[in-house]
Amino acid sequence: MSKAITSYFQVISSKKGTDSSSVSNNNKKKRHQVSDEDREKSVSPAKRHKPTKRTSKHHVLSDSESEVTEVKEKPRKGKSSDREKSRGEKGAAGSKTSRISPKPVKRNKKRHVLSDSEDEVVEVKEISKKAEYGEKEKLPLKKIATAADVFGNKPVKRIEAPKPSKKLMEEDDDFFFDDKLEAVLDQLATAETELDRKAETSSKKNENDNRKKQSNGNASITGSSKEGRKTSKVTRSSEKTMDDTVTGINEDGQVPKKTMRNLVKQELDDDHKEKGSDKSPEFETSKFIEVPHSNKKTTEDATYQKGISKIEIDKTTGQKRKRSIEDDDPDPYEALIQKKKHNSALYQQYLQRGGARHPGSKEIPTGANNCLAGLSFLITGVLDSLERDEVDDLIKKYGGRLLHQVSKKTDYVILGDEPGPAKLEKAKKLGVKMISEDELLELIRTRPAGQGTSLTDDKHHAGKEKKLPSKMKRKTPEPETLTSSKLLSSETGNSSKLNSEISDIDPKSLISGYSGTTKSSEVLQSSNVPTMVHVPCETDSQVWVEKYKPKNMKQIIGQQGDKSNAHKLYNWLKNWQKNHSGDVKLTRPSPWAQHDGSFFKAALLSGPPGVGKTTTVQIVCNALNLDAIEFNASDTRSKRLLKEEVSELLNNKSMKSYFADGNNKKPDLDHVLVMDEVDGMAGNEDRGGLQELIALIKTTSVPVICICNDRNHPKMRTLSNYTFDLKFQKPGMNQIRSAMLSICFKEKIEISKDDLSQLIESTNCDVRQVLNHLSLLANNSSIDEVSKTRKCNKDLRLGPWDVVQKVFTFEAHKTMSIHDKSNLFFHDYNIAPLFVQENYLGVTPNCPKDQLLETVANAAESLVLGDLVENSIRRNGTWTLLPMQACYSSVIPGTLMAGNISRQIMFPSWLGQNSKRGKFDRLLQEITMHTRLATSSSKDAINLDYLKHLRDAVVKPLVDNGAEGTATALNVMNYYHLLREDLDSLTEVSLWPGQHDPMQALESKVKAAFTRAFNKSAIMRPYAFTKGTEKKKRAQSVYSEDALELEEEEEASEEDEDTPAVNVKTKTKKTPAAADKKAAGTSGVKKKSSNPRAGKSKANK
Amino acid sequence: MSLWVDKYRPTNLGKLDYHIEQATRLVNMVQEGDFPHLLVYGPPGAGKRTRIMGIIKELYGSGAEKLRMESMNFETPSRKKLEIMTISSNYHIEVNPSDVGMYDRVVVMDLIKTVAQTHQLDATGQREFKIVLLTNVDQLTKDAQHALRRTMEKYMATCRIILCANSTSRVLPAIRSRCLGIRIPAPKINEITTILESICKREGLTVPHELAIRIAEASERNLRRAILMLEACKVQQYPFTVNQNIAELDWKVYIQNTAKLIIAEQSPKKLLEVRGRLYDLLTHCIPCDLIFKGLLQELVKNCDLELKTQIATTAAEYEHRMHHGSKAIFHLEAFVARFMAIYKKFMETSLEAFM
Repeated sequence: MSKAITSYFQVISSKKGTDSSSVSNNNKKKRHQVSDEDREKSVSPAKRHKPTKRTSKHHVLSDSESEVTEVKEKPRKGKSSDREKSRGEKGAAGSKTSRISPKPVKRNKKRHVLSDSEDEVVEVKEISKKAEYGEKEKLPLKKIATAADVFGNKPVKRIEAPKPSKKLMEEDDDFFFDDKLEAVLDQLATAETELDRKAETSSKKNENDNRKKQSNGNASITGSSKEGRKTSKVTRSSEKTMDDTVTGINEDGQVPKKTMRNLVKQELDDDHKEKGSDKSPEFETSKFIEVPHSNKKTTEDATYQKGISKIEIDKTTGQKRKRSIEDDDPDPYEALIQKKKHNSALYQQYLQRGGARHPGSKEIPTGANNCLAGLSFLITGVLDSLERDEVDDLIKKYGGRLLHQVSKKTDYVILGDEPGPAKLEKAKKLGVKMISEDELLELIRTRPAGQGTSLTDDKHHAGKEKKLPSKMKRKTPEPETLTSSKLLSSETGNSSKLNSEISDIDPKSLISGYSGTTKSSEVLQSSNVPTMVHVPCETDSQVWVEKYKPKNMKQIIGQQGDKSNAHKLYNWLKNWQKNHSGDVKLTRPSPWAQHDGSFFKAALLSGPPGVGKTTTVQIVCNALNLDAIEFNASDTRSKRLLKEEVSELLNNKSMKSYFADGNNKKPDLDHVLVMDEVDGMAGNEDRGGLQELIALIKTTSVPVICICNDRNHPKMRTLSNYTFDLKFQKPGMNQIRSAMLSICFKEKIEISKDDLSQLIESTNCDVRQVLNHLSLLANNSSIDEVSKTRKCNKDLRLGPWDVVQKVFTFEAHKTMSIHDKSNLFFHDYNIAPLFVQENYLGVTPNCPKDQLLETVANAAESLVLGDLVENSIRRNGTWTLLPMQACYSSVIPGTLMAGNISRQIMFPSWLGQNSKRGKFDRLLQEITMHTRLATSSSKDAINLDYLKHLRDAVVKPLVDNGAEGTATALNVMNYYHLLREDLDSLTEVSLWPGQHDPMQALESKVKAAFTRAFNKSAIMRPYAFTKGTEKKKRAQSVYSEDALELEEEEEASEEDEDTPAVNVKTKTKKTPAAADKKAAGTSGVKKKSSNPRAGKSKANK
Repeated sequence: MSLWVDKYRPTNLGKLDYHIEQATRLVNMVQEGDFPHLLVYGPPGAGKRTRIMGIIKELYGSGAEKLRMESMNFETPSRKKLEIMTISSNYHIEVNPSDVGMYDRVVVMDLIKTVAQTHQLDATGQREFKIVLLTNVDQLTKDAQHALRRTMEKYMATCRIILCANSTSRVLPAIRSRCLGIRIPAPKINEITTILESICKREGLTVPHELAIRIAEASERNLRRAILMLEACKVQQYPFTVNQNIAELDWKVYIQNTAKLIIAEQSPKKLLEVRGRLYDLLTHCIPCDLIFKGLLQELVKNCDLELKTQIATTAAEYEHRMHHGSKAIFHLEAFVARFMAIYKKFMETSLEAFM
């Protein structure tokens, strides 16, 4: 048998030739993963029965993969010929299930068996590979599709089309995922869902096979251990994923093991719920222990030595997990609760699920007329290539009937991704035939016209047959099959022969062909001519963004529903004429109420770039047959221009209506003014543009649509009062991904789901940018490019509020390495320490209560050290210390105080307080200067000692004696050369919180008398003060009116600023709205001005 | 009309009320005709400026009393315009370079150089040097102090520099060694009381001796503060009584209340409240070391000896760090947080022991 397998691999290798060094590398890796211990274990099953950690892990793996493994392995036992395999497999299907016992007693045995075979197989493989690729060096390899996805459970391929399947096998080896942990976990999740399905089928079969099982039980153990030496695709694929996990861990340096555990646990929960009570817990167990098992393998691997300790931790956690599951009794009450939870989770999932996975990827066959007549269908889940309504149309077109609930009368349930569990259940119960999308198409293709077979007969003899198709359905092509096979072809590059072979064979057809063994050949033929379905292929020279621009409202990503913005806009535009013809009296809707915007004459579309605002407008206008007159930032939009040209335009009619066929029935409304990028209306060019736009909106006789990015920008504030507010949210990852996958398919780009997800994530769900990236990928056909994109994640800039949120949120820390944490600081290192300092006390840290203050003190101390480092940085220009500051000012306090933020995140008060301090300091300076001749004391002395006494000396006579006290007060003022303004500053500075302003106690009459007397006295001051007073007066008058001027004022007068942050603060304080932005913006600029000393010292030397 | 503290300030060395021996030495020194650069230092309210003005008057006679204020303009290498107020007579010029903050170096270099480079016009009958009086020298940046070093030696012939500082610890040793240090200690309690009594006498008031002592003690041997307090007391209530309430300084009271808050409750929430109060203190330009001192004094009142040393060490550490940092609030807050942690732990353990 080992020979057979070796030969199998040799075939592959010879095909690939030497150029496929990547393959060899991976093979090597595989080899490493096999542990000696494992092998030993497999030899002596008795040992394994010991309840050691290791054994438990074994169980896991074997368990989960059992069915598939078996199916594949058995046929190969004796000979390597394909035909025999296929035959064997059929036989195995029966025996396989027999081994899955719902009873915990048997579980163990079965597992051992399976694990055995696996290990040995791998070993054999290793040896054979060694012989072939022994010399090759390891290179970091990156491939896209995941083995698990590719091989999931399609033994079909091997029989039907041996070549591609071999290829795939090879690819499986190739795949070495150097990816992030999340991606891996994702894969795990998908793998598990597949397993779930398997579990379901098998459980069904259990009933039938119970008897067999009993007899087979013991035999299988020994038998399979002898058998050994088999390759198991699924096993390997799962190993693959585990590889990924391990590498991910290694790369990151830190093990987010908690996350992993959580995730697995969560999955477990889900599984549990899904299966309900009728499934034996063994499936679950197997699923999650699978993880540590392969981890163990890797432990022995020299390459992964770094990760060993971490993996071992994983092992233990895995162990724990297992135990916890066993504890899990199928308590009916708990199950109920879980089910409830599960349902809500499912609903969430339902809400988020995207459109078809690969729209347009399959040819829609033309069947005979009414070929589906008399059949009723029910669709559940998301189908692979067809949108729901497309299927509806298709079925109706051929005379089929669509149901919305499963009943006895349902002939077929069409299953897609994420099917509704309730429907599934019922369908199963009623024994309704479940088919995949492909089978539906097949049905259309093959059914004769007008045939109306009643389901009942079908059902009757479906009794046994049912099982096979339903099983097939689970093995329907995953989206990855397509992409991966494509990918493969490009990977192999030189081996063009193989390429052509593969590309000629549509994997879909392979599979469907297999499902109906007799039909396969003709199917193959028919599917050899791939045609694009509903995408008009235009010239390739077009930019993708243009090429794949949505053509109708349905194609806009994320704008499909009735409540979507596109629809709202559509309705609003449609009814505009009616609403504003003067017949209807409209009331202004409350800004919080849901409304259709009929009151407004203009709409304001806002949202981040790349979500399709402009596109939506264009499409909606097209749909309503309106001409859009567009002004964007490239046009001058000044007040004058808007007034003269645009308003004229608005009263014009477009020529189009005249040229179009004469019977145009909508003469009133034929164009729309689109003001794109209204937030870009700034600067001298567009001065007054916004005001004019608003005026225009008030009087317009055509709808106006404004588009902006930042709805909350101060500039937009006025405009938004006059507009129907439509906020565009970023479309979900799934929505974008499905659309992108279909484009990838059309453009023949091989990119895996995960890569695509990552790309989308890295662009922050910006559809346009994803498209741009993809088109770049298309141009660089080499696979290296793909792997590069993985690394060039676009770093998203976070605002300081988000940063603080992340710094202190315990949840966020779970997935963050120390680098991620310190990167938070660098989003804006000027303001970050201040934000952290301001808000760390508002956090409730996850620490014991008695250590709370200690933790706070430690955090505060770390902040202090951060301040020291910052000072050193600013003073000496030692910017290399910045990472150190990041640690002290953000990472350490964040880690110490990690918890949940219980208070609103505040803008740093330091800026405001420091500004106030600067002001007081200036006032004191003035007072000191003015009184210097008389007091001859320093500023501090004035502040600490004189201030109050001086104030009282002036104010008290006035308070006590009223107007008569003026003379005394004036006397003091004159002796100390104080100005009238100085008195104000005196009172201001000397006033402490909780004290009353003595000047307030003065009657205004007295105050006025005093001021008059002071002005009259006009005593010579020993200093030049005119300038100062003027400045002050101006400042005061200006204060209320224009904040900006005051800023300049203050800037000019502030001479003793130490740090750039001081400057920042003066600005931020005045314009609180734009505070943070300005702070961020100005701090960079100001830095320069704070540095002069360095330059100065040089100059002086 | 002026405050008593200015009204009764002695104008020449002969009229000084205390440190009389030192005053005669100064007179002798001046009469010798020449003296090195001086570094006059001592706590606030001890009479440094009074003595310096006395020296100048002793040197140049009453001509030095005709003061004028001038504002001078400078430009930093980064083209920033600076303006600084100087007080000068024909014979001396007084500047506080720290008025311009971090740009004090420019002032020291430009202003002092230009003043020092010019010779007296009529050298006959006058001294051949001018006096440059720099105040708040301990607040000068290191750069400025280094700039001063060379200037002091180079222009020895044409000018004498008198430096005035609260403490020499923040003056470069290089500068200290170039100067003749004159320490003006704070007046003793009895010296202050006699001065207070003499002022009252001159004002035609009578002050009970005990009240004078109380005021002197409350002023922390700061004569300026004592006289101001006396006047405040007089305004508040006259005739004086022995147990009369002496108005504490607002900022001191504020610090004390803050400390009481800290003692009352230790929690992050309270720390937030304390932060607000610390900000108040800082915005009122109360020097940070005084805040530290005031807090410490009040906080240790509630601690036993062992804890006292621990708290004092902590305070010293944080205060030291504060001078190397730039944002005082960080350090103050960290100190308060640390104190809270220590104090709470202490309270809990002692409570357990008690149980």
